[in-house]
Amino acid sequence: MAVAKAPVQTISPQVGRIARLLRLDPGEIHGLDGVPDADLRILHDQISRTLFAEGQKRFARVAGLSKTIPGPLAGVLAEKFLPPVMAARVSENLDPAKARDLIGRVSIAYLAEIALALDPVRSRPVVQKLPPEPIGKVAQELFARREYAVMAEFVGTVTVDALVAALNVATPHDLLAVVPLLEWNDNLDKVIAELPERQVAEIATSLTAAELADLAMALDPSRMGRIVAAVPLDTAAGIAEELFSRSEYAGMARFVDVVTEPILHAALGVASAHDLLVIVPLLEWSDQIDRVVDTLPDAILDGLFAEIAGGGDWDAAKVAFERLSPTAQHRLFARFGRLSKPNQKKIRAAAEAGELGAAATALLADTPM
Amino acid sequence: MKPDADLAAVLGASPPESVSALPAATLSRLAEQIAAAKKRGQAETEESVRTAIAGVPFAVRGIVKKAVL
Repeated sequence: MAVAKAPVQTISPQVGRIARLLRLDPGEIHGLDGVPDADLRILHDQISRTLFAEGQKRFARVAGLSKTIPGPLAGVLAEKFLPPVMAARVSENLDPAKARDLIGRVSIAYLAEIALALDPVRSRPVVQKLPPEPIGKVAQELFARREYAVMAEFVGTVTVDALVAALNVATPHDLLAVVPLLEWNDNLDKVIAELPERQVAEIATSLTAAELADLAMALDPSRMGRIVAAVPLDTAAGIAEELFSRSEYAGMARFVDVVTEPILHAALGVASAHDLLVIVPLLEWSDQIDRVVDTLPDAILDGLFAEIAGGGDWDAAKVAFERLSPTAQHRLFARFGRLSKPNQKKIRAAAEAGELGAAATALLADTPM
Repeated sequence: MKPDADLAAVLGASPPESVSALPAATLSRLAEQIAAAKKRGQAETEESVRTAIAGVPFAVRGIVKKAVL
């Protein structure tokens, strides 16, 4: 089955919120692109106060009506006569228990429209009292509309149970789109740590290597660990290729503690000599890395030697070489003779000058001319 | 009046500095858009209230009217 890809965000989510508040198309808001998000949030709240301050007493009175009118009738009246933007203001004034009753009496489409207009902070006391099931249904509706920026703002508003209900209905592409927008908190950590196996497997197998690379760079490795463990080896190699091509060396190095040995092997197996020279000094070394490096194909070692000689970055070469196990160091220098004569000459000169470190100098001393 | 003053007047508060520093045309347009949205919202509220009152069953019309007018 073809899976719809998340859209590329071309309009700032905060500009989108302001447009929604003014009930304009985001394209009609000009010139705010360079304003920092924090200031756009302030501007949004200022506009919200301007638009609704005068009606505040009336919204509170309408909210108070819900105590007088029977629930079923209040639900029908609200959906029929109250535009969602105004219903959102009324909702922020509702008694939480009443909101809990009303949420089941209006359509999901109407609730989704209200959610888009809600203020995450002002609505928190009410939203926290809502049951998770309808929140999950509203989340599904909002994911279908790709309202990722709005949803991300509610992470700090909803309960853990509601967050579980919302993220459980997210497709892998929804998660890919929403994760970079999230401000992480303990609730979110808990929910991500407890994502159902089904969902983890779906993310690991239905996203492309490039998409998983995006997700990896947006997530802390500790949060990505379960997904990484579920990624097929071919895909892991593809992710590594993608990240090497983007020169995301530091981002990749963060994952060394959470990847398995086969995945590490797959990842380093697609590294170019240049990639290895850059990433090796960044890795927190372990026996696992030693085992993987010790089994790298000879061709990679030959390439690494040629890269060292050709690049002439002796500092990087020294750091990388000293990270290697004695086994790997010996393997590397056993192949010294395969280097071109000019490259042999360069490396020997650097070693004799002490630029490659003591171990390299000693090994080279035992290597026949 | 300066464009950022127009915007501040519509907002009832000074906007963030990074907003005030935007070109005059941007600020004027934003102030107009906010004022228009406010006017439209007020008209819609009035219309919603009238429609809601007319639509509610007679038995509860009195309390609805009392609350929203």
